[in-house]
Amino acid sequence: MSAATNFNFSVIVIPSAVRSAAANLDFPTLNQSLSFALEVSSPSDFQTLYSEDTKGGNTFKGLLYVPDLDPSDPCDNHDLVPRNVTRKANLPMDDLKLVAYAPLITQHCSRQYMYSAENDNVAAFIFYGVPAKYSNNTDPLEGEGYPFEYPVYYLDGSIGQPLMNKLSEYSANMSEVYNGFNLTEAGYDIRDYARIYAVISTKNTNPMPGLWLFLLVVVAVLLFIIGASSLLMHLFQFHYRRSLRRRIANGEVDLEGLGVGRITVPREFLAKFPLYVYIAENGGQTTPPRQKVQDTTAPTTQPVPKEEGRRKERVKIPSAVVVKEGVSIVIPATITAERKSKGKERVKEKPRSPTAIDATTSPEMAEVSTSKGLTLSSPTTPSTTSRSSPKVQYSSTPSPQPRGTQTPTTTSPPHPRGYHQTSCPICLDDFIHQETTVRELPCLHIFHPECIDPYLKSQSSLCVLCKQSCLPKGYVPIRLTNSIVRRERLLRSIRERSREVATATAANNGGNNGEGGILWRWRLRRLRRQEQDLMGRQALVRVGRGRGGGFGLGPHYREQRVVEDVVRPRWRETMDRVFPGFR
Amino acid sequence: MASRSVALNKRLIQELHKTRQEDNPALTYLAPPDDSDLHHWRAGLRGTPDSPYEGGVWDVDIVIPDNYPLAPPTIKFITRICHPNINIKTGEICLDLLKSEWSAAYTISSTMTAIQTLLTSPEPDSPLNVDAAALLRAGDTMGYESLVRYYVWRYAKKEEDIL
Repeated sequence: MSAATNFNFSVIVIPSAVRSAAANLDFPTLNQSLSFALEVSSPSDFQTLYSEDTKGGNTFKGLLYVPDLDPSDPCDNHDLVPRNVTRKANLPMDDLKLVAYAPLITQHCSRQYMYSAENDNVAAFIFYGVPAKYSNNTDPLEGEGYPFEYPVYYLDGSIGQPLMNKLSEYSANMSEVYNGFNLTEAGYDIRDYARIYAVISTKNTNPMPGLWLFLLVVVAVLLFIIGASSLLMHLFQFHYRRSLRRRIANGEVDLEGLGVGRITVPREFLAKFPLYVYIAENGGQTTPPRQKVQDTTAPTTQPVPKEEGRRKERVKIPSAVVVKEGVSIVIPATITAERKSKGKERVKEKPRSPTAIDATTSPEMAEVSTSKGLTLSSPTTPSTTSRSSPKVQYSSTPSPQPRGTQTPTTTSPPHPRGYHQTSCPICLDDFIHQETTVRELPCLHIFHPECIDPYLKSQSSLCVLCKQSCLPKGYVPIRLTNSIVRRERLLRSIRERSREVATATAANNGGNNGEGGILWRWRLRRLRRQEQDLMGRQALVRVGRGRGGGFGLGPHYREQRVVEDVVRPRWRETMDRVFPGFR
Repeated sequence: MASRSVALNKRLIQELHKTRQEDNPALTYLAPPDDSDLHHWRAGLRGTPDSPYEGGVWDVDIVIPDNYPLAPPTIKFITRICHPNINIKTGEICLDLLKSEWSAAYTISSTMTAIQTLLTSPEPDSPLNVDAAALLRAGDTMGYESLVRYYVWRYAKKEEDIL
């Protein structure tokens, strides 16, 4: 429904020469001072009685006229409608758009007027109210369905009756209209038509579009809220990720301790771990047996007799190396004089190899022995700090010096310290004094490079013996995801809470039982819930892994660590992507 | 690959020697049942003394993967055992040491010691034997222990029989 907002009546001049509506009523408006103009815009002065299927914002325009009635019709009341009012016959053309105008007398009369207007080219119909003695003021549209195609409006009588009288003034030719003499004097042709022209502006007041608009607004607001909170959460998560990265870089967070994914050591870091020639703690003591063994085992080619020989050697030397799981070896280093084919090869190569090592790795070693060596070895556990002192001492020496001392062949010790470890924990092979090349990890544990390198490259970044990370402090090797952030925060909050609980318990025991009670109990409960949450999730991971079957070989083994993310349904994942904070 | 398998065999032979030299008190025996296949071992695991498992001996099957010691061995109980973290039918063991926490520094012998320790320190929160875990979680230690003793009596080999 499009309701009228504005009625505008003015006088236009239609030249008598125009015989067609091609000009489409684009006629000049008469000067207002010489004629008449009326604007009705106060909502109390009019009503919209009917308008159908008309889009909002339309304007209905046409020449104002009173539809003809049958002369015998009692509705043709000349008290209300002057005899000389503008009728259809007074209009210059048939095909002009018209706006019908009539008093609202009775329903019957309204009908008569509207049926009459139906035959004309009517854009709209305007009724106006009349004094009660003429009318029963009924709604012209009441009763039967409305068969007409034009909208119907109602003007208040106080405006409508004077307009009707004005309409009677503009029905004849130019000389007879109101102020006609002045008009002709002003240059208008006497045969031109001066007629009242009505423009009805409407606006859309259809209630349905309003409802839709309301719903649309609600949906838009909801979408905005969702979008804004999602954006906010993403921003927060981004901030958390950044701060976690910063804390990892500062060494405040142990990435391995979070138990996320499998972290390996990239090749370029691996190359920075120094390679040394193995020096036993009690230096040359082992040389004679080695020579002897070398002599005895050199001719043997079959592995079985060699093994037997080795076993005999083992039996002869009482203090055999014992590897205890997860503990660095503390047994005094009496190198058992056993050898294997690989060891022999190494013996043959050895005299040349130190220089070769020097040539290939000396830049990195130099780097290690300067400032980087200190950061690389950065020990966090107290056990290693005590052990790191020789390292520091070593690295404080100028870099060319170790290179200089290493370049000579095996006869001179390559560097001034001995190792506690006597065998490689991975292959269980013993190191040979001044012969075996060993790789030293930042935790100062040593291994055969051929044993430890594949492990660090493909399995873990932790030392096999002490589980200390080999990666430099602050290196973030993996993409930090929100779940990692969440995990870290959970772990940290649990740690903080437990510390808090401990202090609170102490305070409570101290006698502060009054006010702090409720808050303290609530905190304890929250802490416990969080702990359960974490435990539950870990249990899920563990069970998932356990049921996964086929324990750990290669990539399958690697996948089992991330089971937690796999078991969740898709909608949860979508939800997490949109709202990364809810969980 | 060949060099790796050589290294693997070398390490396994080393381990075998060590087990022959030093007796692991947790084990009655530890050796490959077939001399030609070093990748498949068997062990007899003793029940921990002063526990409901005391007196029992369980046969344990150890399969060593090609990338051992970088990857952990696959260990299963052959003899039926009642434990919250061991599947009663398949003998599968749920122990982080055999999965994520594995380190190349562990030997088969030390791993077996760890499994013996698992017998007395079950983790009922990640069970493979739900019934036993439920008993433990409900705090019914007596019921749990008598269940374990029944299974020891019913299925496990007896230490006195072996000696």
